[in-house]
Amino acid sequence: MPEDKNKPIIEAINLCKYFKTPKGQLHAVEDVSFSLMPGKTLGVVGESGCGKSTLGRTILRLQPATSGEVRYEGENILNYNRKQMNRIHQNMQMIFQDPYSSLDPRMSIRALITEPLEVLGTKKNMSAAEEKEKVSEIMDMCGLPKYYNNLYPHELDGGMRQRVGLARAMILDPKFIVCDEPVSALDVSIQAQILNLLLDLQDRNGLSYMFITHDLAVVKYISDEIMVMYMGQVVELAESDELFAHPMHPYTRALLNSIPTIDLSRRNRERITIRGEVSSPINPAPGCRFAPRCPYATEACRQNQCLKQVSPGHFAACTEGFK
Amino acid sequence: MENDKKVVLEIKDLHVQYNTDDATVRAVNGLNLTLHEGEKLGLVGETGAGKTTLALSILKLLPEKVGEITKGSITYKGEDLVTASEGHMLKLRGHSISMIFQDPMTSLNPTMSVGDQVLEVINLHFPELSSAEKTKKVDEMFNMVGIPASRKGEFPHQFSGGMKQRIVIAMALIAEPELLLADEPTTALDVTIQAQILELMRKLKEEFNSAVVLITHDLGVVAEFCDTVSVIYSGMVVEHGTVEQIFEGDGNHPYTKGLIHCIPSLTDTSKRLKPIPGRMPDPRNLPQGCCFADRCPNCMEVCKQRLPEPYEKDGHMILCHLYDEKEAKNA
Repeated sequence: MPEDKNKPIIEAINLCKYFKTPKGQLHAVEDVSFSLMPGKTLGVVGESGCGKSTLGRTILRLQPATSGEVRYEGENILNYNRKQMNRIHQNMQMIFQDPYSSLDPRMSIRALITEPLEVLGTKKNMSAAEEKEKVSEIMDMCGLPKYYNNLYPHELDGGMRQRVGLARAMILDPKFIVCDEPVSALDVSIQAQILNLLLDLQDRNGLSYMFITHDLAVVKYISDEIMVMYMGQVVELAESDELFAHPMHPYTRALLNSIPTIDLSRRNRERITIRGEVSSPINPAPGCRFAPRCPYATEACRQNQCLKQVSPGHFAACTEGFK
Repeated sequence: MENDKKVVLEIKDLHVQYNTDDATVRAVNGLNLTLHEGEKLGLVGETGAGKTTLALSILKLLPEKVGEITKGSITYKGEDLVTASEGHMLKLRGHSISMIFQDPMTSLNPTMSVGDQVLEVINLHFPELSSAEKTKKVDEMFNMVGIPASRKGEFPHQFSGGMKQRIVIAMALIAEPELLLADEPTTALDVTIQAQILELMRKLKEEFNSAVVLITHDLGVVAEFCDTVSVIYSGMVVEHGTVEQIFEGDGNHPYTKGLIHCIPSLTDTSKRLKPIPGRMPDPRNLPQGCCFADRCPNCMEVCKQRLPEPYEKDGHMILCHLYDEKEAKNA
């Protein structure tokens, strides 16, 4: 398939995902649009429950979307049938947060890594020798020693398990991977190993990532573009450096201000603490969902909100935070 | 400056091990620590470094029969805790020494209203108060941590993670302890909520002037909150100093340097991270020399043979042969 470097590999257009609950509709993802170019990384940040994982899962069609479109190389995949989806899923993979619960404890590392080939039926076209070679190539690529083949997940530590998770995704030669908090459960020294591995794989295979995390330092390190979410809504979207240099939305600003860093000169900074807690996403009121906690909120904020371009490539739902 | 203040807690050459059927796990190996009145000490280290074991040893809450203090002393305001009786520890726990646990979701009782849980602690420490006074105290504690007292009849599941942690903090502070052990108090929380909790702990610390031991793996949190830092590796303090000495000084332990290089910077994005290769040695089978030797970029022959002597300058302690050598040359 010819790959056009100037065409987005993944696009979301007005994507919504609601869940039915006994109390009403839970608006997990509300009207999210973005496009991701081949070989680039989109970071998605936000606090727990803001809908970032749901967004990742909806894009991969691991759960049906409520409305909107997800386009893979220009084609809307939301109405593809199972067979078509199998083909697409070879190009779109996911790695999960918890390396302890995302691997079947009764399968050997080798079986875990070949499982995706079986599931998507790619295995049929491969001889046993080819498969063996492929597995050892992928294990090598992900930094897994050969003797791990016959080990089981409980014999590995968190970092190595996360490498197995990555190998499971990489064996299909995907073009796009959703990384859902892949380093959150790891110690910093291991976290750095995995982040560098992800960057190496991206350089080598031209992968695109959607990197979901709540850790802003990590997201800045790995992403080209960053999308900030609050209660299902995108509040700001900009290039990584631009976002950190000129945060526009009051929420983004508070979020950036809250990050603890080892830079001691920041110790005496003026602290922006957001009052209160996230309200309920069930049957939310119209308008900006951050308004109840926002120091700048006015009556107009409760009307409606949409992303506006504030400078080329920089979109924000509100610019009150920029002072 | 710090030295003029009273010493609250002193730990000398502490060894703690867990005895299991298959092996002896050596979690803490000759750890030294001194904490002064009103000091905020950060205890940093990776998973399995022995941070939580240390906190449990101080409170004598190690799992019975399995966990054992084999050597060393823990002195709290002049009295030895290692040999203290359980009855005496019961008086200290929560009253003079309090602990905040990592997971606010599991450290509260799901079947009791939060108000009753706070009341339980008050009953324990202030049995002499009348019930009206006790109720007043419950309300005070809720207000202090920023939760409306009207919600005291609710149950833990009705609160968010940050609010549960506030309730746990309120319970820990009721008796105005002189020593507060906080084991990863913000790890399970989001950054904006983490900022709120740290702010709260800072405020409360000023109010009560308790000494705080903040156990965390997050160097950023330490730099924000603490006065001094102890870096723990394989159950030993490998470096101790003020936050300035640790984060802005040039002479650091190679492990501390490694940890700092692992953290993505918010200001400089050009550089690739430099991870520390390998992982911590198996506590069932510790090496003879320096525990960090296998992963150390500056490893020398002597590092594999014996443990270094602590090198100290202006209260900045480093446990590394590199500094031994320098010392030898200067002498």
